Amino acid sequence: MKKICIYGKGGIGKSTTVSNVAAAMAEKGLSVAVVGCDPKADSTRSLTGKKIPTVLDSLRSGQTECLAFQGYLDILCIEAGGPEPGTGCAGRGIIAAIREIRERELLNKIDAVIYDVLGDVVCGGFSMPLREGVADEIYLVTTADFMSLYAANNICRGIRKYAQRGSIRLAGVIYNARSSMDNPGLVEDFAHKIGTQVIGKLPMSELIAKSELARQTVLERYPKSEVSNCFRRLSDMIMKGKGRCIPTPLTDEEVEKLCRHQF
Amino acid sequence: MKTAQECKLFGAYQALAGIEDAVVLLHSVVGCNFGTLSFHVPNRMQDIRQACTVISDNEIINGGEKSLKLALDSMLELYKPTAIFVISGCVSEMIGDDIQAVIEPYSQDQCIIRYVESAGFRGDFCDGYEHALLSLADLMEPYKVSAKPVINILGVSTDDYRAAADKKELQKLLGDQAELGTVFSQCTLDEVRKAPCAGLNLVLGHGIDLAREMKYRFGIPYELIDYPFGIEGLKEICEIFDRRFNINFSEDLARIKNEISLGLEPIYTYLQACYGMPAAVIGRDARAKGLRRFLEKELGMEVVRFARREEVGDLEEFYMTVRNSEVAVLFGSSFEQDLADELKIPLVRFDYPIFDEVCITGRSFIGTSGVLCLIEDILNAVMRNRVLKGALY
Ligand SMILES: Nc1ncnc2c1ncn2[C@@H]1O[C@H](COP(=O)(O)OP(=O)(O)OP(=O)(O)O)[C@@H](O)[C@H]1O
Ligand SMILES: [Mg+2]
Repeated sequence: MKKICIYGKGGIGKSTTVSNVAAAMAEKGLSVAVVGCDPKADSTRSLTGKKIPTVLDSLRSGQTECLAFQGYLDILCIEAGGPEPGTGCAGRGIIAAIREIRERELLNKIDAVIYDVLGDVVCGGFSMPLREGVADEIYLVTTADFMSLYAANNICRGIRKYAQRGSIRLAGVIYNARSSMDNPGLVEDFAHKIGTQVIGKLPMSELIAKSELARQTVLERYPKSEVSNCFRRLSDMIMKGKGRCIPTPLTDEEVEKLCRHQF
Repeated sequence: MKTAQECKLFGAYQALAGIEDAVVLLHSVVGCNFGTLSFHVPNRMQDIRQACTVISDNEIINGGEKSLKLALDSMLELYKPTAIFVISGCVSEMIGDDIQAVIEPYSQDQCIIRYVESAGFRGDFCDGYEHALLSLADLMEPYKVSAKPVINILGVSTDDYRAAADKKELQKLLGDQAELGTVFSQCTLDEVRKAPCAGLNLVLGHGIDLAREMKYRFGIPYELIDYPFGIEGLKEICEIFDRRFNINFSEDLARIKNEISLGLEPIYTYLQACYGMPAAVIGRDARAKGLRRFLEKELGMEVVRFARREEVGDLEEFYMTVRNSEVAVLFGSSFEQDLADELKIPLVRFDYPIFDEVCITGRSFIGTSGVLCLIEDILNAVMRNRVLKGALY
């Protein structure tokens, strides 16, 4: 089983990437699962067309028969969920959900599972997918904005720590052009500097927004569009999965210098 | 590294659990309940007024507010208390429970419910004690100062060694001339309310924040003193009464002196052996300082190693200085027993926490009988010791 997780700054396009890549993999006949590791629980919305009950909701209410739901092209959708905002520990929530998934062997017959993880590595709970046995490969989503690269670099520090102890590896950077700045060169530079490469590029596109409103992936809504093809190419690259590395994060100054250089 | 003080939660507990008609609810994990209880039980086993929400996995993930509400409801039903002090701990503060919001709806009820933040990562014993004691100021009502001078005592913890007996001795000393007001916190809620009728707050090291607040709100002056061990300790209190209220206790003091010397007569030769005996003292501020004064000025001992717990970062460092000394007798809490064993010297317990001893005879450590008791304890501890470090016999 291919076990990957997607990290990146908040709002940078992780969930969009996860659901569309999952759809692209499923089109190829793979049996795919998406696990949302974000208390917002919106990772699978465009696959199921609704907000599904989360693992934590179910544990809380005691109705634990069904934790996984069938989405578009039979993609298995699971949302870890979180406590009510302001109380409880969302990080612990992710840990509890992943434990539940394991114990129930929900991912047993799956070819590829994608974990969609919240913004930054804020605590042990959110770094859970980095730990032994949960995921094998990490992809970083970033735009060409300084703060986005800065966050990606920070995440690399976390990844490095876990990678040195176990088998988890950084497998590539996904460039999302959703920004006032379109500068793929900068992101490529960054990727090389931290020891990896850009394995996919997503254009800024209205179709993404429209599909989101229709609660669908772009692949379902606009299957023939160029954006859909981008996701298909990206998913092929991920399935090939070459070039895994332990990242070498930059210093904060180096990230700043790199970004200043473009102007 | 060994910490010298307990955490903030223990401080808050020691400040509040002694209020007799109130109960304490620890919104924390079971260890906090076990820990506070284990220091409390040897002191006042008959008087247990505490509960715990026993936060575990489920609360850590989903929040502990439901459990808190459940615990409050049960406590109201079981104890029917006049007040509940909700003391938070590390875990409930880390997961971000909105404790104030949970207790808010109870504000219509008869029972007073107060939330006292006590996360261990936000402070030590002293911080917890000061913060919790200060929270009592809101319960106080302005009272007119009574005709007979009244003094409050601040800085006594619930489980302070011999504190209840000491309180009685103080009352005895004051006789008809003055009145002992509220002893924080070995008192009732009503006494807390009426505390502003006092003309003076005597602060035994801790409780200074509340003393300042009471001065600000009610104009009550305060004096900071060491624990009144020995004759010197009582003398200090008498001098304050003389200065503040024009009350003269010199006759009483002379009588006490006389009673003490009469009491010591039979063991006079043993007492001589105390002169120059090297001792180590570790305890909380006022108690440690008060004891040192007694040992040095009245028994002629030499306190060669001394530490206020508040100032000790690593207990091991203090222990190391004791190891590198000629100390023949150690004064401290139950925690110092290991060091005493290691050095084969006697340990005289005088400061919280003491959890390996019971006392049902109400022996105090101050006043006539208190001084005799303390000296008896010291001599017996030294004489019982198998190694002749004390050179008493
Ligand atoms: N390439 C793009 N073109 C247009 N809109 C985009 C593009 N990528 C993402 N978006 C939009 O940006 C918003 C944020 O995307 P998304 O929810 O996927 O981010 P995220 O990284 O999962 O955010 P969070 O950290 O909050 O979970 C969404 O409204 C999405 O439709
Ligand atoms: Mg998302």
